Amino acid sequence: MIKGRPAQALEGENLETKRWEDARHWISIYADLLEFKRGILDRVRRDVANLQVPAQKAAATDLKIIESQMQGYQVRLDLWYGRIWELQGLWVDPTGRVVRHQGGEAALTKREFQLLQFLLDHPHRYFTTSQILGQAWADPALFPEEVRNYVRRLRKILRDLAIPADLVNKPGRGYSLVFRGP
Amino acid sequence: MDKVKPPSGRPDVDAAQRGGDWTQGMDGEGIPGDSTLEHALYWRQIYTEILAMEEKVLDRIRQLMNTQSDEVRREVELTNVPVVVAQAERFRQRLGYWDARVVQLDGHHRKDR
Repeated sequence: MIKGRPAQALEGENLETKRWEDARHWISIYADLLEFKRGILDRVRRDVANLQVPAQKAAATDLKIIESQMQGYQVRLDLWYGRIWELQGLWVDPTGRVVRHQGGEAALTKREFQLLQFLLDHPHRYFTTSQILGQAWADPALFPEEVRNYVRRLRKILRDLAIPADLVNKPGRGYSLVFRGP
Repeated sequence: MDKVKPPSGRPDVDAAQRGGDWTQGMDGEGIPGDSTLEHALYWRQIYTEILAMEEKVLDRIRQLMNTQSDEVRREVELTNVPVVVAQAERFRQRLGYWDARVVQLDGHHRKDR
């Protein structure tokens, strides 16, 4: 009756689908689930903080469960984003640092490619300038201006190849690659 | 305590097992039948608080579920609701033990139930 199944498919979910709409549907389901569980997690965290220590320990179980479920949903969400890129005809070659999309092709510099790959691997999540410096390039010593510069260059590449995604910037949250749909 | 099972590595399954096992107390809880009044009052308060929290969480889950798609509702019904219900039931049962112990030792009934 109880289902503990990180990264397992939900009923009716088929990652092999050829239909772009299916991919969008499941992306939206997992995004909703993550949002839902995030809301519950925040609520439980707030309530647990008001309990006495022994009860806090017992209630920590609830937190672990929700966190583990969220990790599983995030894995599925990432799989679906990967699938939607496939269905969309996006092809990324790390060896030659080449990106192809629907007949178009662009050769990227090392940093351009690292940034694009990082954002593709973590779609619809926001990263601050310092997170990008540390995680996408593993070089926190670089100046934040470098991020802005490479973001500009990536936006041009997305535009030139007609890749249906926007590299958006939200104040206080950072940058994110957001799929727009065909 | 022969009902206690080793952790399965799946927190929700472990929680469900614990939820179904009313003999399982918290760390340092001890046995109600051996406890002093002070100890019994303390643990009655602990279980009152955590049960209230679980009930609030369950209410919140059910409230939020109303606005979700069928898929999300089904998933939450399968993965969250049973665990919280099982936990709450266990805490309710444990509270009952401590309540009974307080009454036994003190003769006072809880006024807030």
